[in-house]
Amino acid sequence: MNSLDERISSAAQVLNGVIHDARRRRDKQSPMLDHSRAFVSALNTMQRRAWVNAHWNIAWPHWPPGLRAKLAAAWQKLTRRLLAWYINPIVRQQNEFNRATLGAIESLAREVLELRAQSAGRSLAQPDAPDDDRRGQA
Amino acid sequence: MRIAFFTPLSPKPSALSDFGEGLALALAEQPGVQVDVYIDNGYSPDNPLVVDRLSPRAYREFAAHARDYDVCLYSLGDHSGHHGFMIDLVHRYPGVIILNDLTLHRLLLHRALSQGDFESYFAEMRYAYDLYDAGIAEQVLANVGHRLVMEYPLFERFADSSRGVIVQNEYARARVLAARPQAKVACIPYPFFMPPGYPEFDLPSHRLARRSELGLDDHFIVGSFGIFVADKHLEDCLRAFERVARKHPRAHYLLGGSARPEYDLAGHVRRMGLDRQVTITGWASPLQFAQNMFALDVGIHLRYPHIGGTPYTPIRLMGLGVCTIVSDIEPLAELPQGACVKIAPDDYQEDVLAAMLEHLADQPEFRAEVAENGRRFIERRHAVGDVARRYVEFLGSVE
Repeated sequence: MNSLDERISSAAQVLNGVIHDARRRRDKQSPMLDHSRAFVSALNTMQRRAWVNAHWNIAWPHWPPGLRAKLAAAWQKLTRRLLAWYINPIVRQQNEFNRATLGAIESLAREVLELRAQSAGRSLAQPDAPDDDRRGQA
Repeated sequence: MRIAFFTPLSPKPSALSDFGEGLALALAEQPGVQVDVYIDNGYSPDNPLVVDRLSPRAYREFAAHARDYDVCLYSLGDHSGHHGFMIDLVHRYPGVIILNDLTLHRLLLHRALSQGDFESYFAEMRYAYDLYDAGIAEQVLANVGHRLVMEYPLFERFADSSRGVIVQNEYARARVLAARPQAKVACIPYPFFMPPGYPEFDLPSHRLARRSELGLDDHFIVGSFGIFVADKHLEDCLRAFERVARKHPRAHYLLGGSARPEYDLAGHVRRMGLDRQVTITGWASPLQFAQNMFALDVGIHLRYPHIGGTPYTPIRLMGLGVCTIVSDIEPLAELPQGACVKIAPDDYQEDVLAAMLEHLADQPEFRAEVAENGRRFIERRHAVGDVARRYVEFLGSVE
């Protein structure tokens, strides 16, 4: 390891420490964050899966080895084309539904996350206030 | 070796114009290399040095001279206004393509729309994915299809037509090879250079002079540069800056560039009450753009989602010895933590950014250390002469 790499590595340790501390502080302040992350992660999965592809690649970019497999792939390609008139409208309909559903869920998710953030802000503010003040508010 | 280089040039408002100018001049300085630059019709390059040394020509003149060249080099990006003129040439005169972005979906879609030939777009989709679906185009045009442009990047026919592909990061190389295992792909880093014609400078004194010109001598100056779009997370940057500015009243945020019309960045700054601590320069010439970078203590370049290309701004910031914070994304995987500051583009981003800015503001020696690491790293890996030499070697290997 040369001197530049050593310097970079030593600076990285400091930076990773700052990042780690900042993330821990945020975790303590926002106990709901884990739930929010799970929520966002599920939404990301939905976004990735929402689009249904009517036609998967067959024998592309390479034909499979062996005559038998090639004939089977050719038959699949042919039947896919023959059935396209039937399958495509169904898949299009499914994609429209998925897109609308995803949009609706995303809107709801945004509202839920905003409400969570607001309520977390309130519940965090309360314990810091002196007991007397809290009684006074009540 | 005679190279015909197709690229946008300044004043086309794109970082790839800047890239094209720097690369063309560096290639021309390689021994035994002659570079002729071909550009789109309808504009005149405005950098005197580029005009003087490279005498750029309109691409329509190329057909008459095609036989004179050993290889064609195309600098491709996902913008039809800047790169649309290259589409047919890549297929008619096969050469080497530089995939500055890992998707060319919008390039082909917008070109098809501008020519009223939507069928050409569907033909590309069928060619690359055996897919015929207007829904994808609808989503991309509605700006909600980011995932789709990466899922269907449409670089396949370009790669098939070309003798070689150059990308600027290993992630892009893996993606191209996954789609086209037979392609000859080289990963050559983005070159670091100053805009052609930028005067010689001594870094420390130039930095002080620039800060003084801005009237910010004793300030802690944070900056972000480029075309501002939502993907650059300026809201998070500004909120993090606001938190730091409470503790460091002499903090200033320099936004070197302009926002897309649909993105009200100035309004956002106003609503946050940061008018006096934030400067938005607006679109600047490449020279002014680079000049403003010298003033910074910390540069921030967040980007997520990305389209696979290596963003140039962090490379230049680091090369100029600016402590630079970037998103920890695949195209920047080769930049090590410690030569820059990498933060994950997740829910913690704003908090981590605020903590990091505070740390860097409080610890000027450490900030200078990271900045120097970055400068030396760029010098080692992105020196424009070395990059140009690697380009020539690769071009020679596919002649």
